[in-house]
Amino acid sequence: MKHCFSLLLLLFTTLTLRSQTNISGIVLGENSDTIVGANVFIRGAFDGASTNKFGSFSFTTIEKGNQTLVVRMIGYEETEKSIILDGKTLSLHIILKEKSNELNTVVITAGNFETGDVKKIAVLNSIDIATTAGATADIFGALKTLPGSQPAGEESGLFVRGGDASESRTFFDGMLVNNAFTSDLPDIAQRGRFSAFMFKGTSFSTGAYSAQYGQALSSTMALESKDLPEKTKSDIGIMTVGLDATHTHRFENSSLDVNVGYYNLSPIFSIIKQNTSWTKEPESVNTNASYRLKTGKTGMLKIYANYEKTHIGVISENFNDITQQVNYDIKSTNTLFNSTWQQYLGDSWKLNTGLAYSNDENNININPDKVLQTEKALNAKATITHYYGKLSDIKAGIEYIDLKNKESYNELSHQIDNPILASFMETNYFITNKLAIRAGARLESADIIQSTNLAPRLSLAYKIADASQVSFGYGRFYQVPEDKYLFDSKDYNFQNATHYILNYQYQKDNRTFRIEAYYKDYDQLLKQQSLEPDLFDNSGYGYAKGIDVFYRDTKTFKNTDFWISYSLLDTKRDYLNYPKEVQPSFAASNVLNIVYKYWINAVNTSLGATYTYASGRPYFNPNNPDFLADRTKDYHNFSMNLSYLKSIAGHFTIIYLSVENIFGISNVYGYRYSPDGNTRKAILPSAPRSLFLGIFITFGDDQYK
Amino acid sequence: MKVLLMISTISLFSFSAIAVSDYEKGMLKGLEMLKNANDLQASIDVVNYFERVAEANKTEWLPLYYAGYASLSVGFQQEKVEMKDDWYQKGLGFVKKAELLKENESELLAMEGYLTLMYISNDPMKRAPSQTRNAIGLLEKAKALNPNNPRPWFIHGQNTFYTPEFYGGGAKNAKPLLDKALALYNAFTPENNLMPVWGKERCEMLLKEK
Repeated sequence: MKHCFSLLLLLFTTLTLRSQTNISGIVLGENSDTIVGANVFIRGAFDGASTNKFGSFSFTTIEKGNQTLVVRMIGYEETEKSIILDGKTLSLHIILKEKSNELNTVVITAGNFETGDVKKIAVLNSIDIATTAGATADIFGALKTLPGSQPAGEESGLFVRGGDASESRTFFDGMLVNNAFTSDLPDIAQRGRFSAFMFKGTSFSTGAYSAQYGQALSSTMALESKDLPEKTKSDIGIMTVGLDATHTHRFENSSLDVNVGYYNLSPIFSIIKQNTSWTKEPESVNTNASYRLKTGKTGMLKIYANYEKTHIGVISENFNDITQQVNYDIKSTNTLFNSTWQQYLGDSWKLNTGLAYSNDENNININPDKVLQTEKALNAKATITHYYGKLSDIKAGIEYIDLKNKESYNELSHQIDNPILASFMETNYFITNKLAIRAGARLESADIIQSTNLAPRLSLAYKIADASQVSFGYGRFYQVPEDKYLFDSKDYNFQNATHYILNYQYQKDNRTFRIEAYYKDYDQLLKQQSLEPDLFDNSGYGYAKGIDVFYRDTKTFKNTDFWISYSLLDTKRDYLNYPKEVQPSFAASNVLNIVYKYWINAVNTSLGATYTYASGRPYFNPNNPDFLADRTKDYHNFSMNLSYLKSIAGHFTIIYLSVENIFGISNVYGYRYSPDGNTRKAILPSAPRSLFLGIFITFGDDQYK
Repeated sequence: MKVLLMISTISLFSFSAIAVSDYEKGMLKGLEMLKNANDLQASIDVVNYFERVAEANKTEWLPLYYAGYASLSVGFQQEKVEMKDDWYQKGLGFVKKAELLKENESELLAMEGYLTLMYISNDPMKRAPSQTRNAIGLLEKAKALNPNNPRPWFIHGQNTFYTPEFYGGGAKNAKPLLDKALALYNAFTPENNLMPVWGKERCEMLLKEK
């Protein structure tokens, strides 16, 4: 009996004792950071625990023998550890490896600003652009508040870091847009052709851009159009400048957008004082359509077509004799066709093809002379991308661009045909999550100047801490001289620029800080050798260097979003008709932009204000022997806008009001002198103030119901 | 007799020592933890607990459902937007895994819709335009698959309640959805003691608010 009892007791104690092993420990990341909330458990059992705020855990398990301990945490690779459970307490030290994701991988930012609704690193989204005071929902207007861009209000286009507008190129889904701006009239800047709402992202590059693009000495603007819209709906816009209507129809796997618009600035210009003497206030009719189709599971076909007719007329001074007046009247017809097809092939390959065509016809009447300009552009491109490693990719592509330009002046006419064949290759190689290198080259052959170039591109980016990174960019950029010089001679080389950019970016908790230093070396620029005859060669050169600073904050002040951007620019050129190396007329040494937005919840209103300052720009004064040594007075512009959101009879409505140059500060862009140099006329903005009011209503299923 | 006594006593101890992976016991324990969780760490514990139950019972969809449901609370309590995003995505991961185990389950589609709407609410300006259609679509499908299920109506009503009025939201627009949800809650009987029953209290509370 005693034997049995003790045996029973032994059995009892072993049965209970064998059931528990205590497992405890700590879970850390590779940088010794504590991991909170990780799930630590025995595979196949319920037994386990979560790590606490110190990264430590403790639990008991009744499993025994050889088991697998699993540690799981969001954002990290799952880890397993073989353990033996025999009753002895286990104390473990576990290190987790980070998974690569958008937030912890480095991004190549040197010279590049991302804006849009998709990428985390984006600086502005489409609503930001629409609500930036002074921009009137024009993408280019909003980009001008980013560092590196100069406010040259009297000319169309982007003036970036000491480069003129012809050195900047716009791309739509990777395809070249030959005329991104509406018709060019003397001293009047025109809007960009596209609405900010068409795009899901834009990449504004102020230098060292990708090998996929070429023929732009200074900068590129890459616009990425939206994919399939969510719903079928209609929008109408009733504005002080005209009427606009869009219908978006969503089918199962495709969509069709059609837009028509009529603009006439005559009514508003009769109310608002104008500096310009209009003989025909801008009037235009525009229609465009967009078709998108999902091809298979991972493909997307996009076709965009735009047709526009515009009529504008001004009385302006004769450039050579400001005492004489000239009548400029322009009738333009613009057609744009842009189609792209993207298709993933298997898991790691992607094909992008595109075909774009544009036709721009300008009928210019400079009483009594007639000028007819016809520009045709054709762009065909194919790129194949291969994804390798966890994050890297390599792409190769070929591209054909053909620009035909015909100009006739009364009876005389001349034309040029400028076909360019290019191929490029580039890799984005991630050495680690934190160190990435982009290396590429672009080969271009321009038939019109019988030249070929090979341009290297190199960028590096290193993530120094959780929220900050450093990036370096280098590249060589070539550009065929502008059309107007090619009509009379083709004996040129490519103009070129070499960029060196270094940048630091900090982005965390809705605050972004960015500082960038750059040096651009321009060479082979066109320089005038003689006046009669008009002869140019490539002996021009120049440089541009400076520092850009940008700070954006959507967190510090409640319901407030603001950004400050400052550019310091030192640039000189000896090109075209310059007698020596001087600061060009489109460059201002200091530019400051302060953009502010405030959301008033109680009345569903967004209030925006923008202040722009630029130091005086050089202008040509024939009385001063020192070429371009005079400076205009400093430029100040204060604009405000207001967006009021309301649901009227169940339809989402925005009432938008914007006033530019509220204080009517008379800014001067430059001067025109009479031939004797005694009188001069200031080049002013087309109006001292401008006002815009619009009501935008969306019909169709209320999106958020 | 002695041997018989010994054998039966040993067997008794053996049986009581074996009962470990009882699925139902585990689920009930988890549901109890879920009810009592009142801070961030406790909420994380609930999610991780249900994840473990799911790991140990790979053919069951309910543990994954509750892991997804509990992720809502963790995401909500997190302060940093990135962490909120992470936990809502984690929850969606559980729910999508469960959907592979049980197709066309109204509760799962409703939960997927709920997690997606919470994810959208972290950055509505950027996310709402492209993701709301899909999220509401999931709720509509959940309603159709089980017309007696109050939860898709409640989730839809709650989301409408917190949407700004000029976007078609607000208490007034939410009322018909919440009324319908409450009527269904009052008539609802779960299939078994593990199926979801949550939401009635909150529904009543929203209906009381202006």
